Amino acid sequence: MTKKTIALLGNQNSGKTTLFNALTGANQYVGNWPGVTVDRVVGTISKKDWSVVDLPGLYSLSPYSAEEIVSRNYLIKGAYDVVVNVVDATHLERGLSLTLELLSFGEKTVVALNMMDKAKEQNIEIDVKALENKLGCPVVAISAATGDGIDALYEAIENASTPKKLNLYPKVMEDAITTIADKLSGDKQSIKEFIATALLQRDKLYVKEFNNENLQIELVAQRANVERELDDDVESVIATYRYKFVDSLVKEAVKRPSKVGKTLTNRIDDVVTNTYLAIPIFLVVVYVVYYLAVSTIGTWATDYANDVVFGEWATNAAASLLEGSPQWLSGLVIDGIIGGVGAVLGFVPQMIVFFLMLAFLEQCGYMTRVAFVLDRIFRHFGLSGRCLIPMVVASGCGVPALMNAKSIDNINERRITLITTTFVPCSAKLPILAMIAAAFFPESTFVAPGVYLLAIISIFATAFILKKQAAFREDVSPFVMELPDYHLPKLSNVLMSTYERCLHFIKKAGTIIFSTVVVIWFLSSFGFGEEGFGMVEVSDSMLAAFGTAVAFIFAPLGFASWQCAVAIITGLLAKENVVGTLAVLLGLGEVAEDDVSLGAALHGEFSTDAAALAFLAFNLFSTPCIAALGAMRRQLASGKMFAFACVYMLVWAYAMGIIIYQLGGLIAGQVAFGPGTIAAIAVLAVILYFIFKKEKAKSNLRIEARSI
Amino acid sequence: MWQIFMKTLDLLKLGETAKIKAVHGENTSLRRRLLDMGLTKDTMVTLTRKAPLGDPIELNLRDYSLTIRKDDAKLVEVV
Repeated sequence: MTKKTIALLGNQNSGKTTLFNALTGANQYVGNWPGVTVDRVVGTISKKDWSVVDLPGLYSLSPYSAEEIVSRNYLIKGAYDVVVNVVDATHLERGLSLTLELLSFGEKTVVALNMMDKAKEQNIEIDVKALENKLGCPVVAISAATGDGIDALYEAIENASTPKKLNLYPKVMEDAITTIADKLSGDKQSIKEFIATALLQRDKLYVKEFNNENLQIELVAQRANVERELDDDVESVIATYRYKFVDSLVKEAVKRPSKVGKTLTNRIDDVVTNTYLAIPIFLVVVYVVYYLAVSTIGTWATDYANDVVFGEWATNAAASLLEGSPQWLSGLVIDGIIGGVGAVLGFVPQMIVFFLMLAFLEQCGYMTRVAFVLDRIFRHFGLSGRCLIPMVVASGCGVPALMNAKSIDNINERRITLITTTFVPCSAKLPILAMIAAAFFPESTFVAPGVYLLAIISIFATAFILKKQAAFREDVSPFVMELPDYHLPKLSNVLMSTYERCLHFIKKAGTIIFSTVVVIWFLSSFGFGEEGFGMVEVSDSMLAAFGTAVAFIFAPLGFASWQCAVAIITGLLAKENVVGTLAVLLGLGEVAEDDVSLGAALHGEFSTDAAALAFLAFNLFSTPCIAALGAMRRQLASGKMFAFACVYMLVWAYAMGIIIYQLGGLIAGQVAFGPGTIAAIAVLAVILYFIFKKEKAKSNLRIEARSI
Repeated sequence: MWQIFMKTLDLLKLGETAKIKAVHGENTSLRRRLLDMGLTKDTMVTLTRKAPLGDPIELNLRDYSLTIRKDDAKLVEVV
C-alpha cells in the first residue's frame, strides 16, 4: 500500500467534519497553520496508511480571510496527492462553485457527493455519471453519517487521475488568462493560470507579489479588453460564468421534486427567528445552558472534583505516601501541586457539560440563527450575538467560556470576546463580593447588582474602545453567511469536539499552569524566618516581602497595605484564595467570608467604604486566575495579543479602582479633594476619549452603491 | 436633472423575487464574497425573512438560504 496525503476541502456545512471523523476516527491531531489562528487538523486513515489534512471549511478561494489564504497556499504548494472535495448533495449549486475552483489547480481530485441519504429522502435524483463526465473527475456518492460509499471513495482516491482543463469562460476571458499566465514564471500551467485569474481579479495578495510594471500594464489592458467585449468587469464575469457552468451541470444531472410546502427548516425558523419569539427563545436557551453548566450538573461535578477527588482522595493519598518525608516536600505536593493543579483540573467536569451543549447547538445549526437574530444589536460593539454565550457562561466560570470563544468565526469578535469575557464576575469571585458587602454594606442590596452592572459597562466600553484599534480590525469575511438546514448532530461529532477542547485544557494544566502554581507556592511558603531561609508562615514569606514592596502602587486606590497586595497576588492562582489569604494575613485563620470578626478586621484594613469597593473592583476586573489565563493564551494564539490583554485588564481594573475610590469617595464625602482626584478625572477623561473617538473609516470595505 | 431610481436587494418586500442585474462596490471583499456565494448576474433571489429587528435579511437563491446585512444588500441591483 502506498503512502498518500489527502487534502479534504469543502463548504462549511457540507459534512466535511463528519467525513473527516468517519475516515480517521480518533487519530487526529490539531495544530495551527503557521502565523494564523486557523486550526490545522491532520488525521490518519489507519487501514490505508494515508494521512488526511482537513482544510478549513470555505466557499471560495478569494484572498479575504485567513481560512481562504491558508487553503489556497496549501493547494498551490502541492504537498498532497489527492484533493477530496466534499459537496453537499442537497445543496449542489453552492458546493460545485468551489469544486470548479479546485479543479482549476489541475491536481488529482475526487468529488465526494455527501449526504446522499438526505438527498434521497428529499427525492432529489442525481445522475452521478453525468456529473463525472462534465466535471472530468471521479464523483462518488457517499453518506459520511451512515458510512455508505466510503469504500468506493477509497477506491476512487487510489485511481484518481489528473483532471482535464475545463473551459468555463468566454473566449476573450480565457485568452486574457493565458496571456497573463504566459508572462509568469513557474512550470505548472494550471497554477500559473490560477494566479493569472486571481491577478485579473485584482487579487490583493498577488497584486503585491507580482508588482512589476510590464505585467501591471498587461493586466490593465486585458481587463479593459474583457470589459469592453462582455460589458462587465472581470470579477463579475468570472463568478457569473462559473455559476453558469454550475447551473448547466445541475440542469443536466439533477432532478428535484417541485417545491411542496415548507421544509422542516423553514418551519423551525418561523418560530426561532420570529419577530416576537426569537429573543425570548434565545434567552431561554442561554438560561438552560447556564442552568445545566453553572447552576446544577456542571458545578456539582466540579465541586465534587475539587472537594472530594482533589480535596480528600488525592490529598490523603499523597499525605500517606509522603509520611516521614520532609515538610517542604509534602507542602509542595499537597498545597502546591494538588491544591493548585487540582483547582484547575477541577473545572474539567463543568467544561465537559458546557461543551457538550454548545457543540450540539453549533452543529444543529442554531448558532447561525443566533448571529442572524442579534446581529443588529451587537454589531455596534464590534461583537455578534454569538459572543453573548461565553459571557453568560463566564458568570459561572471563565475557563469554559474562554475555551468556547474559539468557535466565534470572526477573529476580531473572537479577540474582543476573549479579552472582555472574564470581566463577568465568576463564581470564584463571589466570596470577595460577599466579604466586602457583608463588612461594609450590610444593609444595602445595591452592591451585587451594581457590580454586575459595572461588569456589563466594562465589557461594552472595552469592546467599543478595542474595535476601533487596528489590531482588532483585521480583514474578515463580511457578514454574508449561509443559514444551513437544521439537522440532528451526530453524537460522535459532538463528543469529538468536546474531547478535543477539554484535552487542550488538560495539557495546559499539566505544563504552564503547573509551573506557575509551583512558583507561587514557593514564594508564599519560603522566606527568611528566625532560623534563616526556610519554610515560613505566609506573613514572613518572600511573597509578603514582595507585597510590601509593591503595596504603594495601590495607595491611590485607598488600600496600601501589603496584606491586600498579597491577597491580590494569590488571587491569581484562584480567586477563591483572596478571602482566605486576607483572613490568614489579618490573623484570623480560616473564617467564612461574612464572618463578623473578618468584617471588623477589614474595617481596620480599609479606612473607607470607597477603598473597600475599589479593592473589590480591582480584584474583579484585573487578570483572571491562572487557569483562565492559560485558556486565554491559547485561544488568542498570539503572545503579543495575550500580553496586551493582561496589561489592558490590569490597567482597566486600576482605572475602575481609582475612579471608585477618588471620585466615589469624594462624592460620598469620605475622600478629600487632592491630586488623586485630578488623576481619577484624567483617567475618566481618557476612557471617554477612547470610547467616543471617531472610528477611522476602512476605505476598501464599503463603497457606496453606484448611483445611475 | 433626472435620476432613475435604482432598485436594490434591500428594497424587496417579504416574499418578493427579483433578478440580479449587477453587484456594485467594485474591488471590495464584500462584493467578492457576494459573487462567490452565487449572487451573480441573472440569478433569481427571494427575500424570505427579516431578523426580528428588521436587519439582517434572509435570502433564498440557488436553493439555499443566505443572510446578509441590509447595508450590504444595497450593493446588489435587481430588476
